[in-house]
Amino acid sequence: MDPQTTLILLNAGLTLVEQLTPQVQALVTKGEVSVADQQTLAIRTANLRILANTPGPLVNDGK
Amino acid sequence: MRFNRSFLPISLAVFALALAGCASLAPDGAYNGNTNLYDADLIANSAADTFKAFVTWEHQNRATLAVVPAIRTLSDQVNLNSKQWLKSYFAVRDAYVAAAPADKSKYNLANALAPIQAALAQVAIYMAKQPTAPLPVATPAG
Repeated sequence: MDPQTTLILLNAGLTLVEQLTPQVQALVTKGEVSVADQQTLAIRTANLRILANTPGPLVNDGK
Repeated sequence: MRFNRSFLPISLAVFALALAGCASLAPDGAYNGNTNLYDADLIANSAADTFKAFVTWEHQNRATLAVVPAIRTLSDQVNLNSKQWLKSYFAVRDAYVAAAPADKSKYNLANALAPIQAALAQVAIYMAKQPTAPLPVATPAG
């Protein structure tokens, strides 16, 4: 692999890491979780349950 | 592979997922101070978001990623099985919630999340080794 291609792929990889970071930061944040944030997670969890019980794959790519 | 700089933070991210935990919950919240349940739900939701992003990323970069067939294999496994993993988690979660306080220790939420976290670790490894186009922005599960 030539150096330029390596650099492009490396930059893409770092972008990927940056995009994952906010979720991870949310997970490791310490401190008191507000009532509003608890409610948000409860709603997301309810929606996740609905998703889990919906037939078919997680992501439909149109195949 | 050449992408160790990417691998380290993603590995740390997976490690953080495994150790995720809030310090405390505000009183009168939806979780009634149960940090175990809150943490478990947070991991399940975050994992689902990551799975969606990974599968979408693999679909969008399938031609490029074909040099590593294991990535498509993992993507297909995650896409087909992640809902079942989540259903298994919810089954244990429901039993945990319904149990009397003294009996809650019988239901191990961490064990219920184990398949999800194992898949998450594999996803992180492959994404770190084969970066292509950026991941689509993850949307909340559901």
